[in-house]
Amino acid sequence: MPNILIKKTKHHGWDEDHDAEWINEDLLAYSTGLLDDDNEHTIWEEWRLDGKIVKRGVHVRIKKGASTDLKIMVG
Amino acid sequence: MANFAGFCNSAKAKLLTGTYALSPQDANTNRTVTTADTMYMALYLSSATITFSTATAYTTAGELIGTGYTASGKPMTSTLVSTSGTSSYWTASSNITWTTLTASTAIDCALMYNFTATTKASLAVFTFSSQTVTAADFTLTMPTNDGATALIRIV
Repeated sequence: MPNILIKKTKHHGWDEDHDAEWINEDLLAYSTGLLDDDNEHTIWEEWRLDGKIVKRGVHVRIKKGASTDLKIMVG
Repeated sequence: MANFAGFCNSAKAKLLTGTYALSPQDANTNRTVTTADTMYMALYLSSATITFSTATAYTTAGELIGTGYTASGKPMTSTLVSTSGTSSYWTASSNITWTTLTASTAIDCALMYNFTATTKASLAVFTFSSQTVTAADFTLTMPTNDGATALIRIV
């Protein structure tokens, strides 16, 4: 498997924020999740090392934008 | 503190005074510039307070600070405004991706604003589920560009 870029961060339980590093993907556990509602279709991918997240990507599809009305009042 | 999505109240008056040109304007004897403005999308923390009812312009307050993110956000690719039935609408022609982003503090909001305008006038607020990103891409995928779902719609 190829090497992929990871980053150990305090936010995900590491002792401190480390510089990004390359690691063999075989060493990582991969999972993915999905949220689908009226507002968004969101997919996230997570890679964990020793149970802690070291890589997390997110793809958000906005399902519906913002709108406003323009009305013309006559009379 | 929370972010709330919607068409910015402040933008409604500015629509009537020509603050936003999402695609090239008609020629006008008072204005010589008819090129489209450049719209930007900026990302905000879940702890920020960006709401359609009060947002008037781009702000750094509550904006994401992270590796792979530059303040002000990213430009949106321009396309022509379309009309169908009683609706006019616009959606950026490309998705927006921040590559190899690290956002350790959760984000849940994007502010669309007019980067070209001196005031950086806001146009709309979009929200999504609270997300962190670590050494990977964050992509905002545009909705279908039609009268029912386009990113910006006047109905």
